[in-house]
Amino acid sequence: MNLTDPELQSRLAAEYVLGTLHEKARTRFQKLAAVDRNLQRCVDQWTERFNLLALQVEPVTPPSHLLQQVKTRLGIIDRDAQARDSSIWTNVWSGLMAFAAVIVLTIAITVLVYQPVEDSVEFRPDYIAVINHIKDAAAGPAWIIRADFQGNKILATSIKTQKIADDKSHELWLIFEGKKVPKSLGLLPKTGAKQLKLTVQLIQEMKKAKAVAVSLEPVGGSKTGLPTGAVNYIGNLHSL
Amino acid sequence: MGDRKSIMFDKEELSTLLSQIALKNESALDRLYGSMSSQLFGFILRIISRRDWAEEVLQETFINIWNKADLYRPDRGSALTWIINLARNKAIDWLRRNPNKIDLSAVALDECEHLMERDITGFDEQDNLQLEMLHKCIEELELSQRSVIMLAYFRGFTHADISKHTQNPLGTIKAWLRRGVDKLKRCLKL
Repeated sequence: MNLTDPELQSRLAAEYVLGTLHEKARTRFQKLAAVDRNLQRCVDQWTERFNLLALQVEPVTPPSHLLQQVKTRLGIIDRDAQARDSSIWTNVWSGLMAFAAVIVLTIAITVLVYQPVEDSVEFRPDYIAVINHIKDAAAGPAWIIRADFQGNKILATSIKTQKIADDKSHELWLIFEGKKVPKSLGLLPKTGAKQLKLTVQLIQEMKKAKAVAVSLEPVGGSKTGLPTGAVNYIGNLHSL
Repeated sequence: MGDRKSIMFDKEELSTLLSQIALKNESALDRLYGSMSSQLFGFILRIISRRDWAEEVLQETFINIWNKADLYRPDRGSALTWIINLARNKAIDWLRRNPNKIDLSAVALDECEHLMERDITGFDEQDNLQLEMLHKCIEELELSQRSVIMLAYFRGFTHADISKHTQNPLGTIKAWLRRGVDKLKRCLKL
């Protein structure tokens, strides 16, 4: 089967969107689409077309209490009680995500404007995050993080020289929704670019994460496996 | 064709609501629920057939919208179809997790035919054109080709499911689907 054939790509994308492929073929297609923009574009086109079919169905009013149930399950009915009960990382997460969402719109522009020299053909980012200071997003990005799953590496590029004490390091963390604790991705450069190793396990974790954050740690990084210093930087993770 | 029905979805508004929900804005969730819940509930009911289970899936859909709104990318499609996709995926996941709960013994190959009789309007000009084109192209398919596409979309059936429930050979179902998709692609100029 020639998977570079546009006709076949489109047909497989249509069947993927419809859901007719069996599990093995579906998984294989997902892997291909993750690295093939043409295939991804075919999926987007068919998704856009086929989902218009949903509007052929007559609307039915759901029970009036359903929205309330949704909010209860989301824990947004009694925020105070939730805040009392939740772990520190649940609260950190909520605050950071609210901030990160604000700066989402800056990302596309930043990425377009900023083309680091390391952006060569052998580096194919699957995920990107633009990291800004929590209290001073207007100052512009501090780092750009690009994760290449196939190459098992992260390219962390400092946009501006970071002035910190000699006995301190900036450590990069994956942040998850809910109470799941952060995972360290390694130490960030004060200046220039640095490659960080991305294990298969970290790739799986990254796919579940929503954001990355940067904490100030003792030189060499946190000794506890969790952030111990101030978390001053945040960036939403975006798949490409 | 039946009566033309107006659907009050404003593409820009839905996109704005999603960006506000990404910021955990509760009133944006209220507004999105107000404008989309009936259409989504009708759609989920069509897939799942049982009201109490469809209610559960609708709840899960809005929980997903709340949790994933920041992942919506306007450059990859409209907010409307992104939301519909979440609902459909939730419904189909639910069906596949609970294969014994739904009675599929009486699935007819042409059971979705009546859906094509409902005519929709109320989008912007571009969407109207896309929808009219989709309608026209699906109607041009042979009944067997149209039916397998509709069963796959509205039931979440795989080739093997369609073969089993309609008692047609697997190879025949695959051929109908392949020809139907190819013809649809040409007609839609994708």
